[in-house]
Amino acid sequence: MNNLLSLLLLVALLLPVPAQAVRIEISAPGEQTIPLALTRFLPMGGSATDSATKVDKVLIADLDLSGLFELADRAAFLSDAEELGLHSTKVDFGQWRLLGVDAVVKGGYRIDGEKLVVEARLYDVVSQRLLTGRRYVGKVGDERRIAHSFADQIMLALTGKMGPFNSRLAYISTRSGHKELYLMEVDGQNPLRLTDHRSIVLDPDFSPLRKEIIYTSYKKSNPDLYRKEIYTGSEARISQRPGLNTGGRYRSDGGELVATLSKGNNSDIYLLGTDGTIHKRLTTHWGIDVAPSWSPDGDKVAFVSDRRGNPQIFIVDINSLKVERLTFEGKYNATPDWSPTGEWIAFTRRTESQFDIFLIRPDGSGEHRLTFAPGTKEHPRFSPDGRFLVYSLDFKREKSIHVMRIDGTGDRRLSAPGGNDTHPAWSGYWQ
Amino acid sequence: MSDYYRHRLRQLQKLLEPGLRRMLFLSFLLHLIVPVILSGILVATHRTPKVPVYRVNLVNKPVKDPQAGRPDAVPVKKKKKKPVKKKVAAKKIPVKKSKAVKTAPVKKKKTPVVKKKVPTKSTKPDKAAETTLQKRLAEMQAQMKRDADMAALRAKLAAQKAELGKSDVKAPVGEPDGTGKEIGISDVRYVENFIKQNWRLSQYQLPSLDLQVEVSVYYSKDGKQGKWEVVEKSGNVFFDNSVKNAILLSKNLDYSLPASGTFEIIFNLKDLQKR
Repeated sequence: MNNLLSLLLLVALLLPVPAQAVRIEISAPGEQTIPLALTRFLPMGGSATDSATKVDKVLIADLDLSGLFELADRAAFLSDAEELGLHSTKVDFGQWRLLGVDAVVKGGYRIDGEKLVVEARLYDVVSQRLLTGRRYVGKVGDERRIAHSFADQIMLALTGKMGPFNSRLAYISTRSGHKELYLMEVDGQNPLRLTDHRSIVLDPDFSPLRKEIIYTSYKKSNPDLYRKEIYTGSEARISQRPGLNTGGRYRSDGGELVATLSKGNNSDIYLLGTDGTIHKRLTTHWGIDVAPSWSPDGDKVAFVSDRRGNPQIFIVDINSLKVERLTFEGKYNATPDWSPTGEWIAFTRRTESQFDIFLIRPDGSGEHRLTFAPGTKEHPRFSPDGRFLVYSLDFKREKSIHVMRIDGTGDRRLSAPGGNDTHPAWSGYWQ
Repeated sequence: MSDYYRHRLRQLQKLLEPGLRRMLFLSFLLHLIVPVILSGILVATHRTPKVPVYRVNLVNKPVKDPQAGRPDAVPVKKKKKKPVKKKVAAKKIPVKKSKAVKTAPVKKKKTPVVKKKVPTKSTKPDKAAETTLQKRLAEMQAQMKRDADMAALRAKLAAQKAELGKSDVKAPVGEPDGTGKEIGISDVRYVENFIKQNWRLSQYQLPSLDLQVEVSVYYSKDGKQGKWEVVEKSGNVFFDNSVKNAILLSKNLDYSLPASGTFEIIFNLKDLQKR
């Protein structure tokens, strides 16, 4: 017996013991941006025009705002940057790998009379494969639109969610001498005046379905709710009840809207049809209830009320009409906006001598401040992808439109100097 | 007049309480103590020593077999000094006992000089002088030996320095989290840092930071990547792809491992979640 045990022990000792694998935990990436090479678009036949420069400029600005990328210095580019490379087999990935980039954008353009054709590609350098590619056909002058669209595609390829660059911003400006409704691109270019009420226009919001905007105007002396189709220019007054008809906001399916109506007495939140008919009264309280904002699922509405003394953010369930208080800090909280992802509600709070932008989760947790710079920030609105916030800044007696990422970084001015620009609103994806 | 004043003084002294003078004198002495205390003479001075400032290079990449800190001061002294001491001691004893006779086997050039001097013994000037001479001679010999040893050590050190010249400048002393030794970081830390540097991912790519991927990678002894596989996916394609790219970019560690083996690497975003 003992001999057998000894033999077994000997055999066990002689058997090869598998080596223990070493466990390593890496708890953050070494680089938190994607190194990207953005090559200049090359002419695909014909002579070079300024189309490449226009596309280039827009792409750089959009990708920079995204915060996703670290653009490689073009001075370091090697010979492959001068090749069209519209197919992955024609790209020398070794050169790009040498530069330490993970992705490369290549493209070309062709102009046939008034017709503009742009080919754009995004390649993964490490796996040497095409991530996304598009062929855009448009007119000469469409370069900015094409570039915004491809920036959105790059975001889609690398994050799974479209970028918001090919959308529009509506805002109120006094450039004509009156508070009128304007429209501009996401980078602040090509401003376009939409109204000529020669009165006071306020608080616009985009329809999620059509290229349509609702807003409040004092055109007929009373603050009434208007609806305007952007391309046809046709305008309709949908709510002209005595007192306030303000803060109109479309539900995410575009079927209904909420607005503040006072009907000559105390202001409350109402659910309206797109034609302005009242479907339901959502709040009934002696306090002032204003500035409603839909949750993305369309079941709840955040609004501002002074029912507890100071203006605070509350949430009403549109089915049960149960009201819950959201904010408890601060003495003046206003203008809530629910993010399209449903994760956050942005609002403004008076901090000492100015208003600043804060974020809070719909359950009241995670409240934090986003802006710290001098000046009053008002009317925060989320981008359709929920990655960015646009707001108006009142600083040194000038009001301007700014955009930033939802972590408060990447802040930049959009509207041109020389006008008081307020009440921004971000459209949905602009097809 | 003086009588008048003396009289007034006596009157006043009568009015004053008995022992007032003593009290005034005591008060004066006590008041003297105040500036003495305030001057700080009585208080022991406490000098705070200057806090040493350490400069730690956290930027440079880990290097192969780095000689961190001061390579010229490291273990060399310990190893070499001891034998020197022993030799000196061993020589001193024979010199004392056998005087000139024992000096003969000394290998150095100066020994003939000693030999020449030894015959002068016949004159027998005096024993003390001779002893001093012998002592000095022994000291000189020991010094020569020490110099020779030091020269040899310096040469060896210079050779080592030349060999490590490329790496010792960038050598990290330990790691920020307290791991690693003076002679450099551990092999595991090297592999971790190498792969981490190749992992590029933006938090804006992800809907959530609560993601984790586990990868198993084999590295041969010479740092070449072998078979690797994703053991556990995160469920987010962008997170998974970023990890795959990091592994693909880490095909060659440029580093010799002590042995071939498999590394189970967990990629997560715990550090970003803490912010």
